[in-house]
Amino acid sequence: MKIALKVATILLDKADPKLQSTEFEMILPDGTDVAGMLDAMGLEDRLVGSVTINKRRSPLDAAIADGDMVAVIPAISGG
Amino acid sequence: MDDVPGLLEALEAAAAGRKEGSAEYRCVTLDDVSKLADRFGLSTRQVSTFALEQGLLPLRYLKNIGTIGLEGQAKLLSSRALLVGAGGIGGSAAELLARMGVGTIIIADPDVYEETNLNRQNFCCKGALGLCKVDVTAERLLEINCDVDVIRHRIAAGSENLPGMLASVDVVIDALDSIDDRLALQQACSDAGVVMVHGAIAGTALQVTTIYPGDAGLKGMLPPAAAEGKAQGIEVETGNPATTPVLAAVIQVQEAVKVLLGTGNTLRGKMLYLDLEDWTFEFIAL
Repeated sequence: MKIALKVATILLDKADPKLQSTEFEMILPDGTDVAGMLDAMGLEDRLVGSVTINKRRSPLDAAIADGDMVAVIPAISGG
Repeated sequence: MDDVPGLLEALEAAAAGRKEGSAEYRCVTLDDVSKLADRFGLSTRQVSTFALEQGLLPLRYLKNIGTIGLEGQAKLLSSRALLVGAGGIGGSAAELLARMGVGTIIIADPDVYEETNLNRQNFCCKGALGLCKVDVTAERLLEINCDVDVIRHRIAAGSENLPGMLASVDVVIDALDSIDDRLALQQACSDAGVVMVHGAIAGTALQVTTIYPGDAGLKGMLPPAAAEGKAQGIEVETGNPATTPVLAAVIQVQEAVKVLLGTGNTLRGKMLYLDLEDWTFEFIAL
């Protein structure tokens, strides 16, 4: 399946391999969930605060579907 | 406030008309408010509140009034805000609350200022290094607005002491610096029936949401990975530069004012995520 992915700038160089753009399309096996997508991106869970699917915050086990718009927001807690 | 014999007459004698836009207000200067407080054995906040209730305006609030009105200003003066954390966000939020005229500001923070705070924390300066943040902040707030009553807690807010701190509080500003502490604060606020305005920063990014009792709020965030000590976010990599704490504080205090006055659309049920580096501006449905 193909999804439209948007990644917060702060996370670009935390992915493995590093990402070159904040917005791109990504091909994933059908049935991939949020945790599987983060794993495929090489992003450590501890750096990710929210993943939204079509603008709605979604848990790690949420299924992603073909054509979804997915955004990855970092975990931030500085004060 | 109860009537004080002679106070209204004294305020009216001191008041002078002042045009502001298309409106004209009868204003009382800070000097007159202070003198009348001394003369009648009242606090300046009592005199300011009484004046507002009578349609007179303490001049110090003139530039607030076009936005929040005399009634709104009186309401803020009788409101109580708990500020948890007096660091980067907390220092700026404290100043904004005082300048808006929130009458009681309760501040909790166990720390003293250290050199690494100089880059961003509002009241941190060379002479304050080693001093308690709540003490320095309280003294500065009283210089900014003598109407404000500042209550200091030189302790870390936690589940054991938050119920006491939250008693009679109208709104809470989360200016903490760990995910665990923020979750504990959300739970305590929910238990106490108090609205919490969350804000956090990392590098050029910030997030803010307003959490009402029972809302999912931060509980729907992805669980932080197990780590030694308290869970933190990507700020351990990006650091916390000077700009984002101030902007987070601005948004949080505006949210708090809306909560206190019951006006406007708040960030309830959605989180604003903003990155100043590239103008990412996302609203995340919670």
